[in-house]
Amino acid sequence: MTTPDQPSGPQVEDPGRRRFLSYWAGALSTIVAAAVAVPLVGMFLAPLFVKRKELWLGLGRLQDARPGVPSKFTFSYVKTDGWFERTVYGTAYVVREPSGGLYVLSNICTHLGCGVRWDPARNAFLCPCHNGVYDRDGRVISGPPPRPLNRFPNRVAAGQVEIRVEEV
Amino acid sequence: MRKLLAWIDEQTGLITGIRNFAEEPLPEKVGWPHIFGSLALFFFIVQVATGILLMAYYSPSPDHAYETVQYITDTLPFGSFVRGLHHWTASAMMVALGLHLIQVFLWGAYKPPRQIIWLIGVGLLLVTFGFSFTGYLLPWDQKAYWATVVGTNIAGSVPLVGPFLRDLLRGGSGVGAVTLTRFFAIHVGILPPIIAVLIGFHVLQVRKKGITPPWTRVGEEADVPRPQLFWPHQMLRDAIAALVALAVVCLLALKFGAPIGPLANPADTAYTPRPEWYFLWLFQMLNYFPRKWEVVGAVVLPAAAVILLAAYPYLDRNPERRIRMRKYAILLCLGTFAGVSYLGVQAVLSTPKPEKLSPLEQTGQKIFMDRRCNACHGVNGGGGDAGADLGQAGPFNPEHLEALLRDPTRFQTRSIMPPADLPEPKMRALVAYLMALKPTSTLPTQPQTGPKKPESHLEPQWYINHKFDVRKDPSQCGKCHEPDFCQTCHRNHRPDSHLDHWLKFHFGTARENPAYCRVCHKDSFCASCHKTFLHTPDWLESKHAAAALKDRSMCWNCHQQVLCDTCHRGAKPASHTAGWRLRHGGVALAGTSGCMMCHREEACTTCHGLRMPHPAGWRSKHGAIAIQSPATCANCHGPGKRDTCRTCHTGQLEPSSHTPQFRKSHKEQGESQAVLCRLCHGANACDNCHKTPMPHPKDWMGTHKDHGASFAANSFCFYCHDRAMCNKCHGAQTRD
Repeated sequence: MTTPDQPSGPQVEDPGRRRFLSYWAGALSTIVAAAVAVPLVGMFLAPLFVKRKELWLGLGRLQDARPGVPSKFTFSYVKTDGWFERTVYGTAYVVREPSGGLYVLSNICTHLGCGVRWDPARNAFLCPCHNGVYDRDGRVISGPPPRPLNRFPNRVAAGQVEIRVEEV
Repeated sequence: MRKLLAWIDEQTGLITGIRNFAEEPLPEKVGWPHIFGSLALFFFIVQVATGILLMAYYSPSPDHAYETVQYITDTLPFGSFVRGLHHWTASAMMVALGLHLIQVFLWGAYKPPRQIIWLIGVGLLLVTFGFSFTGYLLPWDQKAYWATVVGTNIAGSVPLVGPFLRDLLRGGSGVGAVTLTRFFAIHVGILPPIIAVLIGFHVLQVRKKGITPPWTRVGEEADVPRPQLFWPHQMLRDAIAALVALAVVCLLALKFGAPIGPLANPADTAYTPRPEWYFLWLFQMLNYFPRKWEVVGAVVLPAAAVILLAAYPYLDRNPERRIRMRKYAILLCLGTFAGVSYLGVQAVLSTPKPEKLSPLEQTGQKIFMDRRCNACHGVNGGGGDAGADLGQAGPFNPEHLEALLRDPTRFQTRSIMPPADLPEPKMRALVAYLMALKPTSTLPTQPQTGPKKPESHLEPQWYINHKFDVRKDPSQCGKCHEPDFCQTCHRNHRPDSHLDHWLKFHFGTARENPAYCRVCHKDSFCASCHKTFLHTPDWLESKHAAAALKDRSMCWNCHQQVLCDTCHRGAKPASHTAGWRLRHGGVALAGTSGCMMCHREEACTTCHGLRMPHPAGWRSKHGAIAIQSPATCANCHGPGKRDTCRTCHTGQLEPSSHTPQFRKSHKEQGESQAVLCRLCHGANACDNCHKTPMPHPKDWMGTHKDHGASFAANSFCFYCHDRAMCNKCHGAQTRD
């Protein structure tokens, strides 16, 4: 029975050569590890770099939006989610100004992303989460939201209100 | 950095421990042959790293497994490469393990005191086979499915416990969803800790007992000089080997990727299941055993081989490690290697080659795929199932086939197959391909041109079920298909909704969700009818009358005819005052377009009992009707109304001239005043009675026989003439 654990002592050659070999063994090991790691990290991060598409979506007929009062419209689109095709739903409020102007508000609260809703009694958008309140134009009246409600770029084609949405 | 490491070392002793472990003194002549163990470990680490990353995108369910693997392979950046790395490293690990095994055997490293290291090594080999077997199913393609079916059936042939073992592996009686999830669990959850513990044990034992000094005499092991350390001397060799091996595996992964076959399909009869190369020898061995002895090849021999392998250090009592002192052991090693290789090569040779198609048939196959014939027609289970499976359908008659392709409705009027309007050479190629299909033929996995189909289209029964997807989200179809696409089938086979009276009811659907219509119809399709019939807000007030006048039948497509009455009965036009009924004739005679705004064209007939206004020539025809149903005339005519009979027929109903003798005497009047006769009797009155043109045409003497004159008593001649007239020319011989 041998005891190979005993110190190697004089049998090992000079420390210079040993340092040289250590350097190369370490360097090559690092190269190998990096070569394996690069594609793996790349693959793990890949979904972050998927380009987000912009879509024009039809909301509904302009005549269905009552002037002066935010009217709720829902929209949906199909999104390729990895290997999956998923329908994404969203809500937008169309506001027709009596002057003839038109804007479309997102119902996503700018605070933490809850869905705000129009309360005709209080004449305001209310957020159900932290009591954010927005007026008819989406400006913050009270509560924690830092910014007014987002507005979708919109256009009207053949009586249909369309909005530009960035794929989520 | 150095300080941090020193602190960690001071607190934990970790650095010193690692250093002591790594700086193992190695005997001289330990070198390149000893890299394979480390190489196998390196490959294992690559497998763990790539496997964990693949798991981030994989879903172990039959619904999604194949899709996720396709997504990783085709869409995900680095996905194909990482999957290829996982695939090829698995094979490389087998190679490394094999070489490690042979090296250890030849160097006699399994001999005391190191038997236990060998034993653990055999355990590691078996666990690696387990990884390979379970990992194989995960892509859920044909190869995966069938390898698992065969593999689990082999487990099923174990005496007594076989069926239990098989069902245990499968998680039920068949290979299915539960098999996939449990193989996944075994592959990523159960085997990794086992192999980690075994590797740790294996390495620690090697470190404890030392790497075997090469080929020393018995008892001289301790005297071998140890001029090198594991770190850095051997580690440098290991690192170089790993770098080279990684380069090879990367090249393979880049060049070939990882294969993914067609989706697992138990119905596909043309698929030839073959396991991965390192199982081929086992697979081949089964061919040599008759049914009764199959268990020997499938279970007994492999089990015996494993037991022999595991127990070998304890069976081999020869303490010598030098090769020339171990003739029998070396022979056994070589014999096993040769035998396994032979079986493997035999298995490769016996694999049927894929069928070769002639260039013409290849062109035909391309047309078949490009025209998406495979969407409906499968070939031996691959492809769609809406039409007949062409692999099983032959043999065909080429002329019949071409006629069918050119006009499918000729043979089956309700056929939904789109006609193939191909030029002659292409048609010939397509027919040649179809003629070449056999029960062993297969389809290429994807069409060579055009976009890839979504996964839903590959599901069984897609052609029957696609309507549900259309209903769920009608806008989906439009992402790839033009609306006209639907018409290729649906012109002969309309959707369920489009049954009788659909036109009457389509309004609701079209209004509430026009997206449904847009799946199959272009917007212009509506306009083909609705251009003049679009019910805009001002429709009722100002437009509907003109439209109704233009084509009333369009209204009746949707509306009941009483619809007009619902408004117009209570609000008759100003003209319709009392006595209008009697007065309307003059208005109607001037033109019925005004009437037709509300009334149907048949309205006159319904009231009058005959076509109104009286058609041209009525005067000569009215007699018959007046005699048959005088009441019809009485609707308008009679005392106190319009013209009565007496207006024309003064005195008697017959003109006064028509005395009882008039028939005999009307000849002169008829010739001179034929116009007068025609007033009542019509243009052909003479001819109708005389049964021949009257008065006689100019060349009558020469042609009267041709007109039908004869000597018979009932001949029309005798209406006016007597027999003497004939006898004048024909002599006295004329008889009846």
